[in-house]
Amino acid sequence: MSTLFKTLLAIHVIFGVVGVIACAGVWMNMLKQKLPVRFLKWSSAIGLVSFIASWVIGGYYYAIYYGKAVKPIIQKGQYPWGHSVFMEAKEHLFLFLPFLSAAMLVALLLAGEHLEAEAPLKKALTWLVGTIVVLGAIMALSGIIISGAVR
Amino acid sequence: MQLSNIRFKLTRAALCAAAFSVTFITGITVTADLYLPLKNWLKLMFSHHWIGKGVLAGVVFTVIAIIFSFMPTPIDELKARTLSRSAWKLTIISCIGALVIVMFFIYEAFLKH
Repeated sequence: MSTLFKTLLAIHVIFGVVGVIACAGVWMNMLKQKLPVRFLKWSSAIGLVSFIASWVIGGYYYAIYYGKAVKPIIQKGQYPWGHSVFMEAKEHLFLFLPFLSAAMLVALLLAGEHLEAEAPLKKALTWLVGTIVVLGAIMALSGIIISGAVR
Repeated sequence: MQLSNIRFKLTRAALCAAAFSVTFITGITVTADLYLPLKNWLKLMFSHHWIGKGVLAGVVFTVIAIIFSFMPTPIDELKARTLSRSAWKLTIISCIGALVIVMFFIYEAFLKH
């Protein structure tokens, strides 16, 4: 693997993890009674930007390099399901995250000040951001399994 | 809920547009793997089927968001309930979509042949 693709893969992972941590920050703070709305907005924005960056960079690596160089190795190796289950599911589930994060950010930006008074809406958005975090964590774990399947 | 009409409309539009995009991604992922001409068309149009799915999901998000931002606003008392229902729908659709995609690729990998 060239230095360019190694770097792209590392940046993709870093942005993905930053996105998950930022959304986990939103999730934890949404559970508080007194909401730090400014923090929620910024953390949610960082989550969205990180997921988009990870999406674009990982997408470039995936479309240009992975299919030609990595996929055949996994398919011929001991763990072909590393690609056929984990990579296939990961690449498509990853498409969810920017849209979910964008919806979460818009909700916090426009209705964030009203959430303390509207418990049902706060609860629904807490579950939404929790879903984003769980999906993000599944992405990260899938990435580890795929990397392991190549070796 | 004292949320202005424009803020309510944009929030509802984002939540509903995301729900439609997630549904679209789930649908096109399964369909393109079962119906290869669709996958080939995505490759032909966007150089890679995955890029095509992402771009089209973005188009779905934009179009649905525009449509929903023109839909009528309920009375103030119903705004919070409408938004929380939209957020719940998005969460449930995302969980079902994720489950469908994972189960589909497990089926493709282990059970199809």
